[in-house]
Amino acid sequence: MMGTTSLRQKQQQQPPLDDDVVTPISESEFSFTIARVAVAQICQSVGFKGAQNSALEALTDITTRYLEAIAKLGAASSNSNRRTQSNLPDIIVALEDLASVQGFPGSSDIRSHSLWTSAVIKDLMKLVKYRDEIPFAQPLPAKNRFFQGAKRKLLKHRGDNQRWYCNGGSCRHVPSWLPPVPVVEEKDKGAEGKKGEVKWECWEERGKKNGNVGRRRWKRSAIMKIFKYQEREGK
Amino acid sequence: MNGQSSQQQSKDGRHDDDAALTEFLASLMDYTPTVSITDLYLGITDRTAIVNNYADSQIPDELVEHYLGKSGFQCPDVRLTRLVAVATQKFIADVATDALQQCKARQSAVIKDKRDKQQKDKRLILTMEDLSKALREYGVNVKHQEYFADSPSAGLDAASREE
Repeated sequence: MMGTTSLRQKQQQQPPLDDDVVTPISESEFSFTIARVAVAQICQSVGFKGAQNSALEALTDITTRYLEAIAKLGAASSNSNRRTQSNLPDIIVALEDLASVQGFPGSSDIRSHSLWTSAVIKDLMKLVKYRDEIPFAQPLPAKNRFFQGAKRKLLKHRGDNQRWYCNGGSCRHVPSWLPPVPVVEEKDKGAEGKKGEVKWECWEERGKKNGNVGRRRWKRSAIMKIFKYQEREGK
Repeated sequence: MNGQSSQQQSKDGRHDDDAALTEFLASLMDYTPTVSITDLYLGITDRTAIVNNYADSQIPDELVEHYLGKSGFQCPDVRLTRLVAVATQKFIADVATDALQQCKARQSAVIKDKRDKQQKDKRLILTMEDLSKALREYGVNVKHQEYFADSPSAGLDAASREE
């Protein structure tokens, strides 16, 4: 059959992860490739031996849309209850909405009874209890490798954005849903005090040494030092 | 008296549901909780610790977090991320199971030589037709074009193509 590959080949196919790949892959393609491997694994565990490429890609697309649908419905239900962070009832509401297409026992009095008794959650519990787990086929890179190019340098120092902010990092005042604060790298370590204080005279001296040519440069380095000091002060 | 007993029964039922849900959430993570998440919602704090096996999903956590973050879903709790991963896996497994049943139904319908049938039985392949039939019940309409019109004989019957 044209365009079919065995599922085992699909799992062993690695998504492009190395630094020396010439063609840059976009973030969405990368996550799509990983999702395709996961879906291929699920199909294999169900009993399929091979899959058409187009069918597998269609199923992967549906997987990503399902994930996004759960996320949107959960976020919407939490926002309508004046919350920004979602919790368990939000997820149950989202899953019930998605399962209402096929139908589940108890859907007639949906949300009128307790959410904990929902058949959706009970099915999931039975599934987890009686099923053998199979780990993911490929070792995944660290989270900050999703991005290519310049952003990678920024994220290398931050790691997981949320954990950095939640665990009392230096930028505790910044909410976790904002993009990561860029880490400005220090180039010249001149007359620097313990807490990162640099006297203005030193800067002027340095400027005179350079013959006032690099005046803009050391002014910028001064601003960078202030930024770094403020960042460290937050610790 | 009757009201009290029915109230007691409903409370017991609720406790069973809570216990089951706590067990389930604990199985998503590898730890023993002393106070369950549902207890926190309902304000009950006397609950014994529950030890469970560690259950994981075939969909990796980072991937799920990526798609959840992309759509604006925030949750610092890892158990809920795992819950979403398990739910997605269940959905895909259901779809794949239905497609498998369609595939097997088609193989049993086509009765040819014994040799051909055995060969077909060995190779269960996920095709677009089976997938579209299986997905129709879930409300997803997938239609795959049958041929590409790149030559004059595309889409014709085999007999007329030989001519």
